This record gives sequence, C-alpha cells and structure tokens, in this order.
Amino acid sequence: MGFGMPKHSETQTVLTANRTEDGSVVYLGVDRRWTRDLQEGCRLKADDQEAVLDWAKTQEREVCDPYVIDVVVDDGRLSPRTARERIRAEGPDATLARLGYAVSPVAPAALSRAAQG
Amino acid sequence: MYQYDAYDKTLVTERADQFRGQVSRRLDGGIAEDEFKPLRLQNGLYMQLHAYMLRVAIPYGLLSSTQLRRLAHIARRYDKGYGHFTTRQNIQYNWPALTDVPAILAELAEVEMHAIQTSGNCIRNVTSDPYAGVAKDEIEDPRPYCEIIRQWSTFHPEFAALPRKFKIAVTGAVDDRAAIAVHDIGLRLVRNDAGEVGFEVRVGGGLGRTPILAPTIRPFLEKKHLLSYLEAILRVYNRFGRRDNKHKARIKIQVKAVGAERFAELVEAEWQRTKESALELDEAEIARMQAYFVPPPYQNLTNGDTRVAAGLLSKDRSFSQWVERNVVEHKVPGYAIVALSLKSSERPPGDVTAAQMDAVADLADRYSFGLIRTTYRQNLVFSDVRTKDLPALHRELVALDLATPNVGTVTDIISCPGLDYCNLANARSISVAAAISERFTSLDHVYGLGDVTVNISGCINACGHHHTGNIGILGIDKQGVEHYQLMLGGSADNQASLGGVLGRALTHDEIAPAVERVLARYLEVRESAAELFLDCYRRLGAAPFKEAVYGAD
Repeated sequence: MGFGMPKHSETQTVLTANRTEDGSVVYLGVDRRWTRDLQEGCRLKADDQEAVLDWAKTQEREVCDPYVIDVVVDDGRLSPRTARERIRAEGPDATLARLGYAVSPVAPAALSRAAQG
Repeated sequence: MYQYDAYDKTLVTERADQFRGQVSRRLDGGIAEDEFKPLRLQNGLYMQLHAYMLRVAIPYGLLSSTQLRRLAHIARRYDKGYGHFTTRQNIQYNWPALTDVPAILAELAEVEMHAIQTSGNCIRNVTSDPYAGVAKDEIEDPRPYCEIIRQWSTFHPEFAALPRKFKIAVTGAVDDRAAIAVHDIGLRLVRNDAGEVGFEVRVGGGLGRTPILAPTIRPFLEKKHLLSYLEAILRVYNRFGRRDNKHKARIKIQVKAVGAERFAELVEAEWQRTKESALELDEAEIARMQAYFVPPPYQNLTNGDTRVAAGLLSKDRSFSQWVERNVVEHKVPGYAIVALSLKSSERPPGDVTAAQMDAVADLADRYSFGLIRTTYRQNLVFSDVRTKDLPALHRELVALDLATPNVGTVTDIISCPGLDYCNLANARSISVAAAISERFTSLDHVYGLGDVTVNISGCINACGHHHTGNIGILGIDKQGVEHYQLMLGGSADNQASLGGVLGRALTHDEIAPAVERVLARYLEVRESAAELFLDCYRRLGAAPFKEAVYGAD
C-alpha cells in the first residue's frame, strides 16, 4: 500500500471520512493519520485506492463512512472537483459569513474540552 | 399545553440514559457503525456534511418559554449558538458532538422534550396549524387530537419499522395552514350535515421524488374512531407497503398503485378488526386531553383595547407594515396573533440565535402567556398578544431583528439547509434564498407583488417543499456543479397543487435573476393588483413566464 505522489497524472484522488467523535470532515494524510486539512491529504495512486479504502473501513472507531474523492491540483494546491466536496472542505462559512454569522465558531463545550486537553 | 405524566417522564429519561450507553459503546468500539446508525437515527441524530445534526421534536409546533430557553441553552452550550426551525415545526442543531448528545437528550428530558422518532421509518412528529386554538376560522382545536396521536404513536411497537417514514398533519380550521394534502395522512376537523364534528381523512400525499396530493379516503370519521382508523391505515401500509425499493416505499406509492378507492376498502376491512377495541376514544378521554389546551385567562377587553389606534398606524409606517403583514386577527376581541419573521437578510431562513431564543422566551412570558408556536413556513408565532401591546412588542422585536414585515411575501422563503450542511443535498439553498432576498429589498416592491410563496429544496427529497411553492426551486447536481430547476404553480393551501418545471435547469448565479424576471412578468400580465401570482399563473399557464426566463423560442 503506498501513499506517494502519482507521476504524470491529471486525476488525483484523496480519501475522506467524518470523524466519529464529532462528525468533522477529515482526510487521510501521511503515515495514515487523519487530518482536517485537505492540503495535508495524501494523493492516492490508482492501484492503491481499493486497499487504502478497505483499511480505512477498519478504522471506524475513529472515522465513519470513508470514500475516495477526486481533486484537482493547481500549483500544488488541492481543490475538490465537486461543489459538495468543496463545501465539505471549506465548511458553510462562505454562505454564513455573507449572512453575518461569525465564521468557524466552535461550540463552547468543544472549546472547553480542547482547553482541558 | 400538555404536561408530561410519570410515564412520559420515565420514557424520555430512560431513553436518554439508554443512548448514553450506546454512545459509550460506539466510541469504545463495542458497537460498529452499521449497528449504531439505526440507534442514533431513532434519537434524531444524523451524520451530515461537516458534523452530526440533532433534530429535536416540537410536538405540533408548541413550545413553552421554559422549553425555548432550554433550546437556547443547548445551542449555546453544545452547538454554535443557533438553531434551525424546519418545515416539520422541529428544531435542528447543526454541530453537536456525538459525545455531547447524551447530555443534550438529558437536558431536553428535564423540560419534557426529546428527539424520539424525529428520524427513521416510524411515525414522525405530528404537525398542525400554528394558529390552532386561536384562529377565527377554526371548527375545533386540533391540538388535543395531535397529542392523542403523539401518545399513540410514540414507541408504538407495531409501527417501529414501517416500510418508510410516516408523517401526519392535523388542522381544525377552514384554511389549511398545515399542508395536509402533502402528508402521508392529513386530517381535517370538519362538520357534517348533522352538525357533528369529525375528521376528513386524506391518505397518500407527499413530496420527494414522487409528489402526490393526498386523496380523501373518508370524508367523515367520528372522533371516537380516530385511533382505530389510523391504526387500520398503518396496518394496511405496514403489511402491503413496498420494502424492496426505498424510493417506492412511502404510502403514497401504495395508494396510487391500488387506487384510493381500493385502498379505502382495504382500510375499511382492517378497521372492522380495530374499530371495537380499546383504541376507541371515549368522551372522557377526549375531554381529559382538551383540558390541557383550554384557552389562557384572556381579559375581557373593552372597545378601546380591541383595535390598534388608527393614529399610530398612520404615524408609524414601520409599525403599520408589520401589523399588515405579520399580525393576524384573533378569535378573542382585543387579542392578536403575531408572527415573528425568521426571514431577515441577516440569517438563513428558519435560523434563530441563542440570544434571540432567550429574548423570545422572555417576550412570550410578558406578552403571550409564555407560549410560542413554530410554523410550517419556518417562522415563530405568539398566539395571544393583547392588541394594545402590539406597539411595545413591535419595538422589542425590531431590536431583535424579528420584525421583518414580510410574512407571506416573496422574501418569506422556505429553505432547507441544503448543501451548506446536508449530506443528501445536491446544491445550496441558503445562498439562493439570500440572493433572492437581496433582489427584493424594497418593501414597496415586495408588497406590490402581493402574497407569493417561494420554497427551496437542495435535493429531490424536498425538505423545502419546493413542489408546493408558488415559485419552487429544486437543487440538482450536474457533473458536480450546482444547478436549479425552477417550478411554478405549486400551493399547499386549500387548493393544493404541485408546481411544474419551467424549463432547463439554471446555474446558481442564474436562479435569483430568473425569479426576479418571473415576478416582473407577473406584474406586466396580471389582470389587476388583486390577482395573486398563483391565480395569474393558473389563468395564463407557464408560457409568459417561460418566455421571461428563457427568451422567445
């Protein structure tokens, strides 16, 4: 199973899921660690996708419903191909900020937990 | 309102405790996600795009101020400081952590609330007329019957695993404000030729990918037979409804397949078994339930207190606009029904912040006997405000941004959460609602358009009831790009109708201008200002509006 950069490939793929504890969007990064940042997501080789996905499905204590998404690489930056995955990656902040919400607010309980480590 | 008895309290408390154990086992790895999913869904907990979503039941849209304060507290303590009221009169939280949900359910149980049966293939929260008990056109208050249905359907063992979800709406008024035609069962209290009050029973309505208006299968049902007849309908559905295909599993498909007449025969046959049983509602039981919904202690107001002062209306334009659009006549002289618009340009439709919820609860205590209603159109209602208090209440609502005088207008938009939150959605809804609202900022222009409903759904599941909007918008996915179908001619009122698709799907940037062009054309072609958009569409058909959006062929 490899997580390296495929050569000369237009289509890139990344593995995504939702974290079991809070449902947040995560991507599979290096060393099989889950990351909230799409830019840290590992680009999968086509031959490895199935095996990586099978492995991810065994990680359900940590994540739910893993699947593979297509991304476009532009100047080294990953962008999801679909509106759905763009919104998953960015959150609803663009819409909500326009409406006056404070963007990316974190629930007080979650903040408290984070502070307690 | 109904007060929990010992059974109710035990039931919701035990359910919260039970879920705490299930969550713990899920996080410890004792339960797999496939096993856990049906358990969390039975407690209204979905996995959405960015987080879990918890749907809390508000039975027939009735809340006490204490309950609303608790909802505010939950939004503040466990979520991101706001909640979203839905077309089923419930509230949804978009960001709860799984680890917090047991605590949320325990906090809800303390104020006689829960999330039971807000998801899954069971009988869902019963919805009703937000003006129940106070409407001038009401035959009888539907809420006692809603509560009877709630108790009958909660944890009903026979109907815990139906072919698909099941929604019941009840109205007691002449004007349908509960959209009964698009429910699995729609009940309307009616008076027969003998002057007796009973139920007209409609079955097999619904939206989604197969929108159907419910046919009437029984024009008059005696009240005492309400539960036995409902049980018969559910049994026929449970036995013969399709389970092989999720998209064909709603009762509307079954009713359509066999025909309303044959379906009614099947129900009648089954009913013979349930009719003479413990399900029969005797007068004492109905009276017991009605006692929970007796009118509040209204004052006997004199003439001077029954009207809004004409001088005030002429002097204060903002107030007079609000009275015109957001205040409805009450059955008791000197009182008014007040709609709190959750459709300001500052928030997604139906959203309300924790601070607003707290403030609304305080206002309800001061002005409306401590009760709040939620509406199918995603607004709130104070049902019992003294007319003489309207100016003071208006000032307070303005300060809270809850007095936008737009109820029933083009900016009073129904919108599902759409692709900003929802795992099923194909396209955003909230941003489309905002884009439309931004094009109708002049109240004179908005009022000139008269009553018109705009309903937006981010996918075919139709949580935004797009089929029944005079102007309906459906988000679709075209190769990963958001597109929208524009539908015209829908309605959820007494003359319910389903909208028709106008033409090719439009992009996100095209859809709001298209709505603007449709309404501009309406102003050009209507017979007079008295002809509403829907009536104009029904008279002329789609052609002039199609031309306005897509140009001449």
